[in-house]
Amino acid sequence: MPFQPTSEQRGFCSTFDEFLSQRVPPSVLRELTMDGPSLDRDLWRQLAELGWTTLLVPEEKGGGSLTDQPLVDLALVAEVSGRRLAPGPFIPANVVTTALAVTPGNGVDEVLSGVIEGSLVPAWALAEGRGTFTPRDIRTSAARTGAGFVLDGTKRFVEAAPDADVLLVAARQGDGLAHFLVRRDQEGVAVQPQHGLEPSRSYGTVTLDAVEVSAEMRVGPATEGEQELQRLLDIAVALQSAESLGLMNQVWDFTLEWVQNRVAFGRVIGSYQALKHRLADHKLWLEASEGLVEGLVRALANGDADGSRIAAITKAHIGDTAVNLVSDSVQLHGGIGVTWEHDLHLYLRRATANRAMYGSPIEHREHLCVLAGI
Amino acid sequence: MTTMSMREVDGRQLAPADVDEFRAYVRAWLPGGLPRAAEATSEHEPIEQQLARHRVLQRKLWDAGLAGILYPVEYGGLGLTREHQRVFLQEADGFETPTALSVTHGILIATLLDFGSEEQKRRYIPGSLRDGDVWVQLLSEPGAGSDMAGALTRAVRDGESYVINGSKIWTTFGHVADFGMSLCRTNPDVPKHRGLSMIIVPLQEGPHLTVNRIRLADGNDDHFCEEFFEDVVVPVENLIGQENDGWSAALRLLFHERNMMAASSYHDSRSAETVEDGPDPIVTLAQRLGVTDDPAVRQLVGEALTLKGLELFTIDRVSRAMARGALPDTGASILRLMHGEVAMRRSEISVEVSGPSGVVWDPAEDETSVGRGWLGARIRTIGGGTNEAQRNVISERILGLPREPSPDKDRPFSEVRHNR
Repeated sequence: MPFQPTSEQRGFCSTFDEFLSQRVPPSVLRELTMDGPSLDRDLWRQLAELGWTTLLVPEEKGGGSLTDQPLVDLALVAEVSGRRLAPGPFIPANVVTTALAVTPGNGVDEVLSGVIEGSLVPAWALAEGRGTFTPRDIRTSAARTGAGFVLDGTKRFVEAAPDADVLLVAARQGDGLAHFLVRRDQEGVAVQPQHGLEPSRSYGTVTLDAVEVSAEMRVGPATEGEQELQRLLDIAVALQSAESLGLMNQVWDFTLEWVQNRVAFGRVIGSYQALKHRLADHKLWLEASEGLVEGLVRALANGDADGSRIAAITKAHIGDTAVNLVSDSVQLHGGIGVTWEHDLHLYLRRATANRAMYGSPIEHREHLCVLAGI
Repeated sequence: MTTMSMREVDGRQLAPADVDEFRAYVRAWLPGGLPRAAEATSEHEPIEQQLARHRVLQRKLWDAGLAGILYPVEYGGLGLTREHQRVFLQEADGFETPTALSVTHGILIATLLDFGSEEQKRRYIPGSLRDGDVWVQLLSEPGAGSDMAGALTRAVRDGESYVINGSKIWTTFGHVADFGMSLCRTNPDVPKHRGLSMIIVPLQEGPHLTVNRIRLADGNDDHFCEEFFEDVVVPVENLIGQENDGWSAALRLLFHERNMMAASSYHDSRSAETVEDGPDPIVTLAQRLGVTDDPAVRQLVGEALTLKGLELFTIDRVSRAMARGALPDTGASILRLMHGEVAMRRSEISVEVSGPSGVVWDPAEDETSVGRGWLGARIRTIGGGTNEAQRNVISERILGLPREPSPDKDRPFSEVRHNR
């Protein structure tokens, strides 16, 4: 576990851990895979009631955190989300609530309460084209009209889009970027569900055809929308990295147990140097992952100037490391590791999906070059 | 700054014990006391020259009552805490500190403090803190590298002396050292760990002692040495700890070495690697070569930046985990393995990004050549115990996996197979 959690943080996390273990154990996750992705709204509401999406929202807006560093609280919850492969849009929901929380206006507040209660499912419509999460690649436009804005464009790989009631859409407005809150049932909004590797998270393509939004539904600060988008992206990367860390920790725990009990050729397989050395390497990159998640979350919580650089380093490392660790754990398990019955493929699905979403390691390495001034 | 708070011990003026006063005193003294780091000579300065300069810096620290922050006052130190050390290193950021003495004070003298006799401590520690006597560890041998307890160098008791024969290797800066701490076999007829002794050997060359520089693959011969002992005679009072209990002293030495890698040792110098400033050299390299538009190069540069970034966070995490006992002190093997992997990969990236310029260059660029640096970087996965030895430590001591079979563990050393 990253950080050194307080007893209150531990208690909060173990509530989720127990709830998820009972409510959606791996056997249920496997069924979801067979049935195709769709959100269990009852489960989502229960998670919301336990505080799944409230930590980044201030008390006066209906939220509340455990400590004076809400992002640390939430990163610990994200670790549990990874360990238990929690279904549903944990990351976009928290991005949406934090974006709405800094925006004044009754209409926005109403949506925010709905999301916090779990009655409204949110989605964050960001990626376009072949699936780049880089802000400068956004083409969706928001043209100003008398009463507000008109949105046009196509968003792809939008998590939870088929289940969403509200969409937070990133669009180009004038010279800058801004976010707009759109209802799923609004005229001109069409969602085409997509199929995915990760069964417990749904994805879709969102088409916006002359969608009219009122001025009040423009979310975030009046200017510097690009910085706000980067802030939200950094938070998404932090939560996703903490989640990938959690799933790595879980796979690591049962893999270490496996190699100490499984016998081949008269010895436990964990006594073979060929395996021991690989496990030592995984331990190294796992410690690096923990260090990065802690460093990133602290930097973002403190508003450090190099938060985005640390976010890029973190994703560039953890994106690949999580896939490598889980994939090699399949190898260390041998035949049982590639069966439907074993949980490993569920973790491999989540690790692989997380690597691609919110910027692949390739995109983040490129971003590091930009931040280094080249 | 007031002199009121200075402490007087045995006629020496020592820095204040109160942390705030200590900081104020250090801050006021540094600008006139030590040179700015930027004024320091290049890293290619020969060690003899650097050492001569650093001995002067060490003496300045001593005269200012700032040498040996963690060492007890009776042995010439300040008798202060890690908090004082942290304050000093923070304040000294941007100044040149006597790094040529880091290993001496952080590892060797620290081991002497733990295992030396009262007489040894009073005789040797102040000399090193005041005058910068250089100490080195004499552990590895041509026939025993990562398997240090396989040492063949013999020390035979002859009345009130030991007579030492054998050879040691991979001694960093052995050619400029004053004293060595040598792991010698005093009893070959017991299992290997139980027949070793740690003995202080003065390293002045003579008819019985030869010190050779080792030329590495990159052509440099200014770092590592090998020593040959032919009937070197030292008095028995040079024995550190008990005879045949040298393995305990060797383990303690390795403990201090690991602490040093985790940036929590006894030295007064600030290691260059903990200071993060200026652009990454690989970014500068790509700019100089004009290849920053190449997407493949940008991916490699991004990878190099990722590795450098994660190293700092990992050191921070692992050091803190070791400090609070969440990881055993062998956790430093994680840092050593990481450093080897990161340094190697970053060096590979430099060569790859350079293309032909990495393997062919103008004579003027000799010292800064990426290609030469690459050959030099190969040592990073080997020195201080190979990456493979580190992986054994991590998997066995930290993860608790079964130990490798060791047929030499419980049999007399003279009966087990070893190198000649």
